[in-house]
Amino acid sequence: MSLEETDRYARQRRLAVFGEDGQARLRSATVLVVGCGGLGGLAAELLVRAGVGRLRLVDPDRVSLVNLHRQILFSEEDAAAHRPKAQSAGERLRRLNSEVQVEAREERLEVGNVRHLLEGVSVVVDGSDNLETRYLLNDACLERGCPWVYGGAVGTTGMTVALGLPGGPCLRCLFPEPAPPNLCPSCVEVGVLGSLPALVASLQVSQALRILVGDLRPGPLLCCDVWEESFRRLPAHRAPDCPACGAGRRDFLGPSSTERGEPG
Amino acid sequence: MTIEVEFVGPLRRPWPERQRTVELAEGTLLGELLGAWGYREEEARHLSCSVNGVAARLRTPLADGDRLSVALLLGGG
Repeated sequence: MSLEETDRYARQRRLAVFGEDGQARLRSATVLVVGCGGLGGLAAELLVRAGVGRLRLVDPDRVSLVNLHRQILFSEEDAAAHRPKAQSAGERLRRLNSEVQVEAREERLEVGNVRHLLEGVSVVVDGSDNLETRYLLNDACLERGCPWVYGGAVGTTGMTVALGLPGGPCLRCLFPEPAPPNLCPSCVEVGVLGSLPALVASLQVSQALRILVGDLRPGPLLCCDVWEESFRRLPAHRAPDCPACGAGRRDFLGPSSTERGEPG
Repeated sequence: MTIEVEFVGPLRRPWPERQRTVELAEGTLLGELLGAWGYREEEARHLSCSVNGVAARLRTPLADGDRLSVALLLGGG
């Protein structure tokens, strides 16, 4: 470890929960961040600042003005030029920490590329904007034995849980099937408070860092409402009758699986 | 019997507030309660419900003093 690197992470390495070798573990890790909007953008920035070895970022969308109130990686210039999010994010992230290998891909995570995107990945942070991607990610991570950290944010409500940890639940233990759109409002329909994704992404990154330094204990389904100033810890246990991690089905990795996201 | 109910997130609710004490007939199943609140079975099975901190299914019977939480996976990001 170089002297410069030692200094950069001094406050982080001092943390008792990080341990002596926590920084070295981060440096050897590869993290996949799916989406670089409200959740994924801040998550990517915090992970790069924390000093992960390699950050792989995937997002197919372009920056628009409606993104700017919550998507911290982007500027008015990015929106005016309608730049690819992955490209703008990659440039900013490389300026924040040149020691991190940032691999930004302008593509959508889907059945055809998910296995390739997961190669060499230690943990996945979910910043996607639709349920189909999450169910696909769940199947692919189960197949590879890779933990992932779900995050969701709509209106003033956020939710996060670490999934695929030893003895812990997968997404389908908690939510067996994707909910129909009429049951699950989107940010386009009900809006989203700008401060909410930052809170949820911070919680996700904390969980991801904990996993990367070797703490693999499953946690709760953490729900918050930033307007009501409330936090709830709901149980998140492995379900014996889970169709995915229990019965071994990979319904969303099938050749007919598709995903339909909406612009962030 | 009575139970405590809490809705988490932007869920359709049978009343304006998130939490309420509800009176039920003995032996009411979780699925029956969700149905009484207007959730069709194909909707109810997408919800994540827990009773006293333990994951519950639609066939789970409710008991006096139970604390029920109802949540829905959020899609936005």
